[in-house]
Amino acid sequence: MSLNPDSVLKVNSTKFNGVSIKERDLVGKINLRGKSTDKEFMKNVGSVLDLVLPIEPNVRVSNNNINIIWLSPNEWLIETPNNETQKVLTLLKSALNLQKSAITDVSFNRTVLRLEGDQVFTLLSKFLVINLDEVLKKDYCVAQTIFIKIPILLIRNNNNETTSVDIHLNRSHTKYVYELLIDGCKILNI
Amino acid sequence: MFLINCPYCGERDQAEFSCGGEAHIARPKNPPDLTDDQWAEYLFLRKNDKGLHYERWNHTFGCRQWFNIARNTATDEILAVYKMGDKPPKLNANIPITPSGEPIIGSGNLSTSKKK
Repeated sequence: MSLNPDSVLKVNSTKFNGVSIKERDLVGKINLRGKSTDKEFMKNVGSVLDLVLPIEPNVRVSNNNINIIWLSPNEWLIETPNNETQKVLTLLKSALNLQKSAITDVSFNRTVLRLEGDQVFTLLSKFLVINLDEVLKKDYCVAQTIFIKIPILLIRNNNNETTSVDIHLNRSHTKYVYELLIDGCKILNI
Repeated sequence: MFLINCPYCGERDQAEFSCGGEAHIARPKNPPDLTDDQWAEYLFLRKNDKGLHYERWNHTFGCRQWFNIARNTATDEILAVYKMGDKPPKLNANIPITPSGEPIIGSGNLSTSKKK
């Protein structure tokens, strides 16, 4: 059974008090596990993706169309264009020793909300305990945390004009988080 | 609520973590040779100290890695955070003296625990 790849919210970009919230189009996501101390694993992944897996915590690296997000010392999330996911999966499976690594297609597992605006950190700080100015102080910084009680992955995008943050979250929690964010926007200027 | 400094992700809220109980408990090398009491001691008996306590924690809603913490159970102060496999640091924990004069070990109320 294949899941419906359509957006969960089925709404266009929403803007409240200078913060815009929209659901990003579906992109391919591959969860990759392997030991970062295994030189052969690191080399083979690098040759397939044309990118070195980041060892530094809480960062995202990217080339033209592929992003690699650090999740843990031995786990990464690879974002690919939707039409290239199967190709990348096949290449990784043929290049890696599958007894020492795990490659899983998690494209339909999560969706991504994109928040843009000068007050994005103010809005998010209503729901998060982490210090966003510290944790997401640079472009392409990543943080895994909980939004109320929902596990999320935050990524700061490169946007020189305003603050832009992506929230990766479970599809079934998306409406709940979206409504909380909208409510949070309404009291931004109070 | 207190903050825990994950050795991989940095400082995060305690709600993101799960405690895995006392750290540095080695599994006996020859379980069949143990008596039932020795095996039960390994499985069930823990120190439950008031003061310095070495614990395992997991960053469940973050990097999902296990690590160790040295915590003062009397004050919840985290004295050290170190990775799995590292040796536990030698530390001293200050135990606050309570107005009711509770004993250092255990937290029972003196009025009920004293033999008459």
